[in-house]
Amino acid sequence: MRGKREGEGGRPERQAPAWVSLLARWCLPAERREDVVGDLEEIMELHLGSRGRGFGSSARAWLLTSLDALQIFLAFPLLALREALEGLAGISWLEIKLGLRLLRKQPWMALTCVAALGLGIGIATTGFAFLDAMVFAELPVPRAEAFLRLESHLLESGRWTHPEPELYAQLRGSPTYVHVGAGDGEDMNILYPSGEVESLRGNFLTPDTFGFLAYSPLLGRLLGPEDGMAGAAPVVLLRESLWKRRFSGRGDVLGEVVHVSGEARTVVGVLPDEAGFPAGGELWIPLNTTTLGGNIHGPRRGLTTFCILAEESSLKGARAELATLAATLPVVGGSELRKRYRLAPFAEADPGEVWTIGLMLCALVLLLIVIAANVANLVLARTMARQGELAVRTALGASRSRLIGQLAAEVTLLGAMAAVLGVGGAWQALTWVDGHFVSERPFWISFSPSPRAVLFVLALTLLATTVGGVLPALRATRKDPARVMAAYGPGSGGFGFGRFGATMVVLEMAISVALLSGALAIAQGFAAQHGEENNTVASQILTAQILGGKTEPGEGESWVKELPLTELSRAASELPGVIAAGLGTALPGEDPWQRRVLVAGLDSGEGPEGSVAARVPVVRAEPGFLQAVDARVLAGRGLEPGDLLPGAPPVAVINQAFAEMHFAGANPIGRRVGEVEDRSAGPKVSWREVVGVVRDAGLSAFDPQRSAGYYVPLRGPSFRVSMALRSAGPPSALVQPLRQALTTVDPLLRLTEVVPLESLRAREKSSLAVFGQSISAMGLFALLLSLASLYAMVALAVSRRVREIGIRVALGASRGRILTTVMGRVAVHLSLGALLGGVFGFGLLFAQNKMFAFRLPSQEVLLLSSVLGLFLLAGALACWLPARRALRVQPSEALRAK
Amino acid sequence: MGRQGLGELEILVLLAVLGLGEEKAYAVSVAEEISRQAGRAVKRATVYVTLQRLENKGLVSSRLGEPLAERGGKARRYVRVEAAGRSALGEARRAFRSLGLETLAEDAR
Repeated sequence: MRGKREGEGGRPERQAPAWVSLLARWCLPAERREDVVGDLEEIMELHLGSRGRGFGSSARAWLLTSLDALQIFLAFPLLALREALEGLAGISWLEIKLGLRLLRKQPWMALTCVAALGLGIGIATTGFAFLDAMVFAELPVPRAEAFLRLESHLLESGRWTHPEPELYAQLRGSPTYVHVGAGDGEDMNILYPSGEVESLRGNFLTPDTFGFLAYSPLLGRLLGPEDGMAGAAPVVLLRESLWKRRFSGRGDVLGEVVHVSGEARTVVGVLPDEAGFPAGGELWIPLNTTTLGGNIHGPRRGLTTFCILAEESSLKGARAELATLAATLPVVGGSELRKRYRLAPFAEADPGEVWTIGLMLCALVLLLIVIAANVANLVLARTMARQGELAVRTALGASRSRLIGQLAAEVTLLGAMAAVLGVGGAWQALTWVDGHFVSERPFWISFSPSPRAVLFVLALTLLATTVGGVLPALRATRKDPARVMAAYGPGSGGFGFGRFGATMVVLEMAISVALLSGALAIAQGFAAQHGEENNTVASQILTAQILGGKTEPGEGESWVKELPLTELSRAASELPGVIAAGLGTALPGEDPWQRRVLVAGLDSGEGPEGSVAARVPVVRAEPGFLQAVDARVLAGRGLEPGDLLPGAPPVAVINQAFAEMHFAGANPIGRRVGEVEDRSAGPKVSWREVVGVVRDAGLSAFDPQRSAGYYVPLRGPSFRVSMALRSAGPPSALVQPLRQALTTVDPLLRLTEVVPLESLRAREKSSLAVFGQSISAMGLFALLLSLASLYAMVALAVSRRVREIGIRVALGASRGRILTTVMGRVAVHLSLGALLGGVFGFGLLFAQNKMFAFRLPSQEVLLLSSVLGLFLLAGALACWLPARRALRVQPSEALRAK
Repeated sequence: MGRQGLGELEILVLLAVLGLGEEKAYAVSVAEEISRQAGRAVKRATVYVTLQRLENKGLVSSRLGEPLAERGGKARRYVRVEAAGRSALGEARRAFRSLGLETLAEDAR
């Protein structure tokens, strides 16, 4: 706290509370900051002057000045808002105050509208933020628009391929560009001086590119042209995060040697976390500028060539030049190897992805319109109930535009609150996505809000309030009251909200049923997965995902090196404390490839007469893998080392579920199963003999009914496998030893993940749980809103038809007849909503089935029926509550009603 | 300024600005002046908002003065009543007079 202090030359120098200047930057227009902060210093002086100069009075002055400052700072934005509302919407301050008062009188209606609109705005904003991040993303480098990516595809097949080395050389010599380089992101294994091994993402980059990125090193130097020359010393740059994590941010890290994928490299610099070009990793390794090899290696595969346009060059000109250069390139091999080249902005998103997200966004905006239309129904219902008040105001001289202005002000307030709620929710969701999918997205894409997103939210709010507020206001204030009244009278079409309103309510009912069914299906999927995890040794299993290193040219057709399977599993098995270890193509709880399989009949030979067993999961595995995941032998034998040898007879070990499903009661040992491969010459069946039955160890992620499958021996060549390792102690203790053991076998192999099985499952579950909970919440909201709409409709219909009902009662109408009159149409629409919801629900369940491999063949009908039943029950209740009033109407009441 | 009348607070602020003169009228002094002369405790935030609204309506104008050492080098924003403001005050006075406000004052005497 600071009060008055003597300045230079004994002149008093006042100082307002320190936070004042800080907050002034946020709340005050730039031209008002200086004078208002100066005034606050005078105000502080006034407060001090009124009560002497002791500590108590200083504290009081500080407090009072703070209060003044708060009020003044709030006053400016409020004034701006008030004037904007008055200017844009023609809404006066008085109307806003009146609106607030009315909202306080109808809190539940206000709450429902805010929640519903907030949900719609939140969902649409999230969708827009994704699209915005993808379409408008820019590289965080100077002259980002000048960075181009060279794409090359095979002309005939459209497959991605490398540009010709000659083209790279020609582009480097072209004056169109200030720089042409190449780079790539890759998983690398780092062996630290401490002996620890870590797998992380790193970058290969032509070192002279750093001259165009404007990165300033925190320590040491950047990479330069000398690092890209033949025979240059192998060096590496670290990123701040890695430097802090592994080297405790030490200043003397420069000069230390780390082994990157088997090669000793000297640390020469540390870059800040903002640096990420080209692939967002934590390391930079220089490529040889001429050969594009990583110092001691030859040209690397999978590199992206990029060009930086000169100031005076244009993309169009560069493309024309590229076409000319490409035409002069010699074609090596047949016509099928002819290449097509294209220059694209470096951060350009895949058009297919943009299209998909764009479609999704349209669907979300449509959903918002449906929600807003339902809010319109609620608003209309309440407005019609206020006909008396509106009539009085009209009689007192209020014009129609004034009435509309007031009604619109109310809904604008609701919309503003909903926008805050929706944007808050969207922000939370985006922050979660930002934190959870860092490695899956390009480093330049961030989901933080942009001015475009703010404009989009404003436009959405305007749309929602127009549909939800202005349209009902226009209807409710029609000049011809008879028409309005007629909408609620006997024989009126729909609920009294017109066909549009009724259609929207039906649509929303359908959407809520479909969303709830989807959410329940996901929940059921979790339950199934949870129930399936009867693997008693799951807590002892450590898993690793292993990819082969990239090959050098001349090492064969494949870009990825073949994994030394036997050596890898031997190295893991020999670690102390390991009970069993082995490689397989899918871990327990993952979804392996489903293969079309035939089961041979008792008398059938190798022919197509075997019965079709549809698609079943087939895992290629080593014997140690089955032991590690506790797939114990129940009959016959398990896989044996001899089965892996070349020329060994093809065998299969089926799981218990498969035995029960396809050999019910009979002994499966000695029977045959065949994988069907569709070829142009006709299907080919590879038959295998069943040699054993093992316990189920999770062959399907979500659906136990899909877990009926089998294991076959894992034989090379393999480029990507998973390892399961069962240890006597806690598996996390083996993470480091396993990394070291595997990278010792092959330093270039890529270990993307080494985690205990339980952590792997928990992570997947938590991601899916958030997804499931979000859909459930949305479904529930939509359901509640449609129920509220139903309630409002019937309540309104009853209140508008009291006279008619009274007359009918007087004429002897039965209670059933009265109920039919009031609820007949609502019931029709309720049924229609349920029917449509059923159709949507089935569609969603099938789509979900495709996406997440859930399958609920027998439960689908049951699940959907339960939701529909619940919906109809709740709907009937929502109608019944106001309809009871219709049954209590007395003829005398009918006389008073007019 | 349209045909919209002035609110009570707006009249008070305009009169205080006129009373102080354009060399002395700024938000803090205006609030003090109203409190001293009219005996009305007005929130300072209200004075800022009212001055801003009056300026937006074209009834007053403001200018940033010289940096003042006693304010840590920060200048004051001085306000002056424009011709439109004076005429609005005149209209308000005429309205009060036609409603018999001066008769009421004489009776009270």
